[in-house]
Formats: sequence, C-alpha cells, structure tokens
Amino acid sequence: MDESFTAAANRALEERIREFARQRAFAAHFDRFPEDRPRLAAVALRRVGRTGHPAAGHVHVVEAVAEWIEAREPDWVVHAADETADHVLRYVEMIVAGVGIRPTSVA
Amino acid sequence: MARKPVRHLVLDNEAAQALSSTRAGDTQRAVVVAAIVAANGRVVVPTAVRVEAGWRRRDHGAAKANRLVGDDVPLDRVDADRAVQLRRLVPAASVVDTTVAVAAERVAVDVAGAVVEVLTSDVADIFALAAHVQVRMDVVAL
Repeated sequence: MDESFTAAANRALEERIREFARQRAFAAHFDRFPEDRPRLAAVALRRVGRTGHPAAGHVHVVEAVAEWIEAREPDWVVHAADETADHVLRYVEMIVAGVGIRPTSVA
Repeated sequence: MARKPVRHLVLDNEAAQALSSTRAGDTQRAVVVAAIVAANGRVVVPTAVRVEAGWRRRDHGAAKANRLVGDDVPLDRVDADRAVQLRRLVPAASVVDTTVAVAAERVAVDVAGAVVEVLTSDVADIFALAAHVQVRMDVVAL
C-alpha cells in the first residue's frame, strides 16, 4: 500500500502514462507493420498457456468467442488489449461452465 | 471461477533484437509483439540481454522498444549469486541465459500462480534452467 495520497497519486499517474505510451507505441507499430497485428484468439490462448485456466482446453470455443468480439472491436489491440483478452477468457469460462444453457428435462 | 491468469514476459537476446527489426514481414518480430500483447504482468529485459542485443535505451532508434518493454532487470549481488548457483546446475547455459532465468524468478516473486513466458531461440538451455527455477516458466521458441 502507498504511504500517502501523494505517493498513490504519483504511482497511478505513472502507470497511466506508461499505459498511454504503450498504446501509442502499438498504434504506431501496427500502422507501419499491419502484418504484425495478432489475432485475439492467439493472444487469449497464449495468456492462459501453462496457467491451468479452463479456456486452454477449449481452443475451438476461444476461437469462436474471439472471432465474435474481434468483429465488433477491430481496434482492440491498440485500445484495450488486456481487457479484451480478459473478456474472451471470461466468456469462454461461462460457456464451458454451461451458464445460460437450460438443463435438459428428464421425463 | 478460475483465477485470472497473470503472465509475465522476459525477452532473451534474439527476441530483443527482433523487436528492433524494421524489416517488412519479419515473422520473429510479429511473434515478439504478440507475446507483449498477451502479457498482462511485467514485460522485462535483463540488462545482460540488452548488452548482448546492443539495445541502448538512449539511442534514438530504441524509442519504440523502450515503450513496449520499459523495465530492465539488473543483476545485483544477490541475483549474481543466484545466477552462479543456476549455472552450476546447468553448466551448458550461457551467462546471459542464466540471467534470463534469474529475471524470471524476480518478476514473478509477488504473484502466486503466475506464469513467466521466456521468449528465446535457445530453447534447450532455457528449458534446462526452467527445471531449477522457483517459478512456473513457459519457454516459447522464437
């Protein structure tokens, strides 16, 4: 924990500036080298590599979810890479857990 | 609910060099950039790797790499001792490879269950070192 409000504010500002610089660097890089732009599914799968996350065992679901999100948020990699990959993993976790799927009735 | 995965990234020499490439269609650079995007923890380069790769942070051409990989992991007294220990266990590993393994231990020290990806073209030696470090390493071939 920070020792004062000033220290907390300084740390938050530093983190925000670093994130801004990172976003600008990615934007400039992908403008120059569009072929380097990674696929969302590949990023999500890489993030869970060796972590034991359930998404790692459901590649086809990750592919489908990532494709769906990528179509709606084409600039995810520049503006919100971390959050978007997290969304993919959360949705996959929900699908794999059967959330929203009506249980089959037994006669 | 699964714990949110935390993935750190440590660059080895070839990865550091590839990041600075300005060649169109450089597939190695694309792999490094994808690894940086996928990492949601710390993204670092050991100082020994920077020396080997010729990455001087104050060079004009280093601006992009500096923004994408802002943190160095220096080799202090404690880390040097740890590197010596690891090198005795894996004599075939180079000094730089050993500092990569030490850096992997340092970046993941605060987060239980975190994975440290090491992006390298020297898979055999880094893999041998991974067996002795106290973090979960994911050795990825460049």
